[in-house]
Amino acid sequence: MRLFLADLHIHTALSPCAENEMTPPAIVKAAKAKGLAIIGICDHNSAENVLSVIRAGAAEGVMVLGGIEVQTVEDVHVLTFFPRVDALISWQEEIHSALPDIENDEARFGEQLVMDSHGKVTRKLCTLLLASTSMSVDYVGKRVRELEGLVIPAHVDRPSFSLIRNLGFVPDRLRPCCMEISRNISAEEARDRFPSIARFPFVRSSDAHRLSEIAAYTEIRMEDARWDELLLALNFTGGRYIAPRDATI
Amino acid sequence: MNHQVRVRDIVNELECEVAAGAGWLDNQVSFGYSSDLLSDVMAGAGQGDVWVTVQIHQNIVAVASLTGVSAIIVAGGANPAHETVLKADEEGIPLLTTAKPSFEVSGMLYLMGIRGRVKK
Repeated sequence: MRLFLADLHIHTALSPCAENEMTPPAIVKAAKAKGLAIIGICDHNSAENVLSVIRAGAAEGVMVLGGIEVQTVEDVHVLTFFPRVDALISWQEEIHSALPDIENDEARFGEQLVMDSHGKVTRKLCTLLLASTSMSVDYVGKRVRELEGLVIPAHVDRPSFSLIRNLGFVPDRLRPCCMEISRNISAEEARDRFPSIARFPFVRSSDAHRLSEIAAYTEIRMEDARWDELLLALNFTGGRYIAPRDATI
Repeated sequence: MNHQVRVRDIVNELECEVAAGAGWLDNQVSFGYSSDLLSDVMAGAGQGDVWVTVQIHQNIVAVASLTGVSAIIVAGGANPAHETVLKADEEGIPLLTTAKPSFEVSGMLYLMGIRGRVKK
């Protein structure tokens, strides 16, 4: 059994609000420098850069979990991860068609850059990604389960775009695999302040929009850096576990 | 003043549709509360309030039950989810819908003599 350090919520330059320095190779390099073996890539409502980061990570021995941070109709941010790229791609198509047709105003929101694994810009997305889809949290939970993915409500302790803030408590049907807390709160305090999340495992993530924010916020004990092992760790099977590391603020 | 207002009066005055909880239209209304963040409603709304929101997730029924609100008005033409309607009937919470935006609904309730709840 080994201990892996992880940061499961990192944006790339595709997210308009993220810095353009968030290129696939730069993210992988920063992750390695912080001792991370596993990173999660979750841009807002899109996965256009995930494959490039997976390729950049493979070259450096960093496991990259491909995901999308969906914004639901209730303005709730939910991380969704998939073991297979084809599932992620079909999920992305569904999300893109559930977005309102608003053009990104680059001067106001920032650029939405699609990059190859070397960090070269190949194109830009025109439709604004910073918007609510027409999908409810319950639908997201159901659909992601069908696609054999994982659902993690993002930064539930934050004052905005949080499941708990917007919907009061965890809906019965969502069935998330764990809860993400931000770097601003300890696990103990989170359980205390939000009783409805207390029964779930926690992860802590950076929600990095710039390279310096990437950090070892979660630790996972498991046999190997693989999806099936991650599932076992989420169920705390056979001595495996997943847990937030103390905030380093 | 507002001590006489019942949910039925609101349905008539605002010409709302009654999506659920039709058997509870005689509920008395104490104050009004407008918010779309359910954690805020849990902390701020109270017994007998009429609550105006655009949220349609079924959690609104549980929050209404918890805080004891007399009716939920879903404003802005939002369509409550099927589960939300079922749950509201189950819990006996009048669930009213209207195409009027939240601002207008709140204004009309105010004109009926209903005042906002300030602090729990």
